Amino acid sequence: MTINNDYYRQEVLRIRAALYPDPLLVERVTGVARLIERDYPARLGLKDLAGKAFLSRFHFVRVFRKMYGRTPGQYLSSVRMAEAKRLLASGTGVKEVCEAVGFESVASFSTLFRRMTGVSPAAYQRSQKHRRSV
Amino acid sequence: MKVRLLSVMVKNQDQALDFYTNVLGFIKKTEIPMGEMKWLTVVPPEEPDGPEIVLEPLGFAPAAVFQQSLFDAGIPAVAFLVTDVQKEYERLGERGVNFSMKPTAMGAVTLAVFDDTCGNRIQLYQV
Repeated sequence: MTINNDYYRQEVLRIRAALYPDPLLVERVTGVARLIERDYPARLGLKDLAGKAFLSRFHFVRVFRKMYGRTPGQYLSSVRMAEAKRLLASGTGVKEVCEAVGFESVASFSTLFRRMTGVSPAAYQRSQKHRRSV
Repeated sequence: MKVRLLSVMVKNQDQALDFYTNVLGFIKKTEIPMGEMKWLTVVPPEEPDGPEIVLEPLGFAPAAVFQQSLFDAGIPAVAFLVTDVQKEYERLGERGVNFSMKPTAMGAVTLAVFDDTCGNRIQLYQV
């Protein structure tokens, strides 16, 4: 193995060729990720998301997970939770946050929030308020 | 445990402070004289209360060998997240920054690598 000052770039290109040989497929799937980041409050079903990438549901999930390390559903949840944390920290009420990030019930929102952050939305909001006042 | 500091070894702290503030656009957070060296940290303006980068003097010979080996192979010592790699590439290029890897798509991320003039390659990445 030859190590020169172009070693890292060559390795990046080698790995890219091995993992992502189809640039069009990468473009389609990253396009769906951008759509999730933009339209996260909407109801985004797997069938529709896969359709946007012109892929079957199974193939779409497999490629998405390969590129992002998580399923499209997990990615959507992480985007929603990041926005929820931002809104909670800014003082928005839990019910309003729940609706703003695309959940239909406070219970399901709170359950997922707690699972992903370790605390309830209300507790998270209190901790942020305390942090600001310190 | 929390992450609050990230060390970047630099050959010259004054030169590093100049590059990280005047070229990259970071803000000096702390500077405490400590004999020949100083405790020197910078933060990005987008995240002034986030983790601080310690511009750490390279006073340990084996570390210099490690740093040089990474540099010679073009391997980044650290990576910074940006919203638009292409824009940063152009902005820094105009300021004379030397890139060893131009913006390169790699699956869901785009990468670029530049020389921080203090002994390190730094990677920019956009998700």
